[in-house]
Amino acid sequence: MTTLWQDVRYGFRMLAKNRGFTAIALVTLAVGIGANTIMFTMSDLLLRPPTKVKEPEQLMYCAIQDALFPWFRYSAYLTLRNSGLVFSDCLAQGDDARPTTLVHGNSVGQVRAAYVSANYFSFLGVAPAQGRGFLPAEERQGSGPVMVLTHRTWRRLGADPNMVGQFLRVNGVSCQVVGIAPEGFTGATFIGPDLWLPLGSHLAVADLSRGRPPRADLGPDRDYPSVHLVGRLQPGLSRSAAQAQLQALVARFKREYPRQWKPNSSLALRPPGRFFIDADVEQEQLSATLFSLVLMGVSGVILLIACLNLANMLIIQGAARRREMAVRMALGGGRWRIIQQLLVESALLALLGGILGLVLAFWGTSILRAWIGSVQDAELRCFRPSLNVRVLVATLGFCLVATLLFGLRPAQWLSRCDIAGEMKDSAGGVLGSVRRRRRGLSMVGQIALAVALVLSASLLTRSAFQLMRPDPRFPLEDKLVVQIDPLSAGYDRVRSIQTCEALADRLSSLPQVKALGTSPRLFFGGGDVLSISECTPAAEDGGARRHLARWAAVTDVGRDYFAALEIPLLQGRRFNLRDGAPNAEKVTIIDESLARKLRPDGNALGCFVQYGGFGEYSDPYRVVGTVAHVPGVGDPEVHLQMYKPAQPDQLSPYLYVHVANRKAAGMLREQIAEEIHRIDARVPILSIETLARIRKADTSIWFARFGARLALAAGAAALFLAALGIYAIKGFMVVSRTPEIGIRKALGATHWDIMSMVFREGLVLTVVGLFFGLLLGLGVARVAASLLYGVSPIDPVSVVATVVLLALTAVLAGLIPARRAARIDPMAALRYE
Amino acid sequence: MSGVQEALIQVENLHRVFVTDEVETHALAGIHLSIARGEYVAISGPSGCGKSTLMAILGLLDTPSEGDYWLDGRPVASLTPSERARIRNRRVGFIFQSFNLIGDLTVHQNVELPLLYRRVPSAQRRQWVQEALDRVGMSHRAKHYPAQLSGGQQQRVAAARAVVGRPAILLADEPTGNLDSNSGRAVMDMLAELHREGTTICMVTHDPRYAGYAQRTIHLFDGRIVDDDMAVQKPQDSLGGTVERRA
Ligand SMILES: Nc1ncnc2c1ncn2[C@@H]1O[C@H](COP(=O)(O)OP(=O)(O)O)[C@@H](O)[C@H]1O
Ligand SMILES: [Mg+2]
Repeated sequence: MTTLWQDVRYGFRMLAKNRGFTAIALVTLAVGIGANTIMFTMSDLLLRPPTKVKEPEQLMYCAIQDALFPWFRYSAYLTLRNSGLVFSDCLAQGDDARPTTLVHGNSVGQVRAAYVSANYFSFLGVAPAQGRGFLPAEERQGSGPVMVLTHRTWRRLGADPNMVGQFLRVNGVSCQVVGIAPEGFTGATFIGPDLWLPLGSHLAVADLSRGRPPRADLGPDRDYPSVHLVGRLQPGLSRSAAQAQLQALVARFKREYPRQWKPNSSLALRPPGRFFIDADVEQEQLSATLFSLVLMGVSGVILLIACLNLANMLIIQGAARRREMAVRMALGGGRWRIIQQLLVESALLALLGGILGLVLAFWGTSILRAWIGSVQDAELRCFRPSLNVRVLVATLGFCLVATLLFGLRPAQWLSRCDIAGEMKDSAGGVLGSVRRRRRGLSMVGQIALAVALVLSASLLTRSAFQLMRPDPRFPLEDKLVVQIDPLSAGYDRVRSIQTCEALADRLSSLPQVKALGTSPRLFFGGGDVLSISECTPAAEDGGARRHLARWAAVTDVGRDYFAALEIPLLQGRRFNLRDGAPNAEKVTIIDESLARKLRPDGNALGCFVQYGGFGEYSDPYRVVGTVAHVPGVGDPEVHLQMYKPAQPDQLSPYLYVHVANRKAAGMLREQIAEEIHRIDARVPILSIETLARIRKADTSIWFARFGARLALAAGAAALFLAALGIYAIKGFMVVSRTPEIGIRKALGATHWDIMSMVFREGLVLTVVGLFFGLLLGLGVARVAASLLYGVSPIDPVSVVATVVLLALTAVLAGLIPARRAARIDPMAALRYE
Repeated sequence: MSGVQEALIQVENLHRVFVTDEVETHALAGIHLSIARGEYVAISGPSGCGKSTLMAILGLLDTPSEGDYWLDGRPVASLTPSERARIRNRRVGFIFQSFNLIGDLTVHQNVELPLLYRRVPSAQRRQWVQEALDRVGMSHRAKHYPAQLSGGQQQRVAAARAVVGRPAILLADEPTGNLDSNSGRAVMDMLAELHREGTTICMVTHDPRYAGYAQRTIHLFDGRIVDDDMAVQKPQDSLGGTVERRA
């Protein structure tokens, strides 16, 4: 113990003595360990998402297998709960992910609401931070709507301490806040809603307010949404036993829900997903693990570079200490003692570097949080990486790994030195430098790894740019999308439709507006799980049907949609007012890709098509026009597109404004907001954005940007480390070869001769590293080619950029040592011989 | 001033003051000296009297604090650093007490170094290096590394490096200081040979036996020339006695 303490004290003295070395080593380690800590916070979040649920391991998701759809009718939930089988208690959560409009005073926003059974909070073992959870009576249809806000929503609305008891408008329905959930509670899953309502409010808040009448064919279930079911197993009951007992209910369900339940349908129990309640937790785990592996792999490479770098520096610095080692050995220090002392020094470095790395990670995770906060997708925004105890432990682990990685080999090497050779070293007649052989491999290795990272980063960046670049055929900057929600103003359907019409009329008469179109849903390219087939109109359902696509887009469009979005008409005609009339013939306009699928020559006018999903098919639609294909966002696949006219009783709250001058778009936004306010101040405006901005905020583009940014950060870190490495090596070389440089100057070497000598030092190793790095990077890119969009894995631009970047780095890193070498005074240098 | 034109080296009232930690050291305090072409001059004096400082200034490695220096009739004070490097490369050859060969380079490469800095074409380089190594009798060791040679052999290689570029003057600062007497004598014989072939030599030594190789001995004390003995044939022991008394 005392020797360890001595080693620590001696180590501190050595670090304090070699300040330049220590500074570079600490920065190197901080970057290496910091990068790993940052990536680990993300992996930690993915693999162990935090939850406030009590005893989450007891939860079981009850899945319906091999049925038409996998969720329960409300009555089935009651049947299961009241049967007393298997579960000591169980909750129901509505399967409804449609956006909900929340209005509180002047703040208008779209939120995600979850409709849950009244026992939700008590079942999960979480008491609201303020107010209460739901009462059993509130689960029943017809009771006054109430809700519990998440802590985050409450804070976003101003953190009003008197929020409980107030009334907020949810989809235009006045709902009383009865409770506020504790901070960090997101429900049964890590990705949670913004507010909870009892199942009994669903009809009024989610359906009636949006103009959807209850489905009469569902009997008593018409008042409730379909639900997911999660229970806690009765004590002592195993999962397989529970699953076997549950089958007793299957026969009854098959009888009561003959359309949903098939002969081979069954019930199964499994742990609920961590992110989505109905997801397979193992699948989730698998993809999270894969993603984490990639992240940790990248940061692992950075740590490896840092360690190679340090090992190099230690060997070079160690060369200056060989004499010290020889003296220690001559005085009887055993080889292990010396290795131990050197490793203690390395561990000290690693720990200090780790502390700096934590500071870096703290800063890095806050940047990550900001990036993640900018994503459109509310579900992704739940991921807020931050440091915690597990992360601290991991950082400590990284320090240890680093110590062994960079400290062991130099320690071994130094401890093996030849005592006699060092001791008899006379007043040197020979000006030597450290033999370069030893560092060849680590130098080549670190350059190669850095180059591979930089190349990958530039590929991902190019790919992200390709993805972000809009199709030049469809200008997006001059298209404003206005989304309003008259239903949330409490208007009924008829009045809401009138309001939208009036607004559309008014806005289209504004001077800057070239055209204005509408649609019930926001659509601009992309696809959905819908099939499209060609059919013959004469045949009855099930007649001749030619299947064309499994993944397609079927969109209702209102007036002037194609004109406002400048989607060119290629054949036939656009919709007219009569097409939307209730008894009119069903007609459709299709995109060119569907037209070619129908008829190879693309002339598909007069063909009949129908769309379907879940085994049901629409009426046949006659093709009356063909328009250009609108590419999806971030999806190179071509999805067939089919447009049909919106019905007169269909609400079209999306207004597409084609602005005459795209520079005026910003100004027009405010003007439109004012205009809507003047016409009807009660109508909530959900957003007014250019299509370009909407596209940019798309999740796939965000992901590409996020990936590119991460890769760029990693590449920059790697390049920075490589630069530090080159700088350190050349710096040490200049110091250790000062007398030699003095001689060279005495023999007539000019400034430039000396500078170019320093630049040439390690040049071959750098070039070899570059070569292997490019090979490695291109190899990785080939394997991961599916991640690239619109960029070949062997992209010359990226290769050239990488080479140029490395060259610049090498020159910059060599500049200071080269100038220092050139300034060496031969007189002074020779006095030190 | 006619003497100035003829002399290879002419210095007047040379001073060199070192300031370290606010202590001023007057290493040279008013040196007047002229060395003619073809001369063999020995500089002697006790340790710390300024011999190496004078050599460094003569070799354009250092600049005087005060005074004038003409090399080949040209004042050197106005030269730029790169002109000084050029003159060092072409006009001056150095031999140091501790040989100062570069350990990573072979004997051949060490000797070749000044020619590389002069951008001499490679064929000519090879020939000159060969000649220089022949002159010092080291051509059979051209492919060896300095560490594989004895001290005397290393110093001979250093001499080859000094003369390979055919300098106007050879500056040798205690060339035998790190050598045993046999090797020392061999090196001195070699210098004498080079001198006979026409090289101007200025050598620092405080070994009176070796001072006798020179035509002229300059005695330095505390940065000043106290004796400039032009006599070619001077009894060696009496000279040594003088030096010892002064030290
Ligand atoms: N670069 C320097 N900085 C400070 N003092 C120096 C320097 N070079 C030489 N001196 C001092 O100048 C004096 C003469 O030194 P030097 O010429 O090396 O003597 P020597 O005759 O032994 O070769 C000594 O006192 C020495 O300490
Ligand atoms: Mg000296």
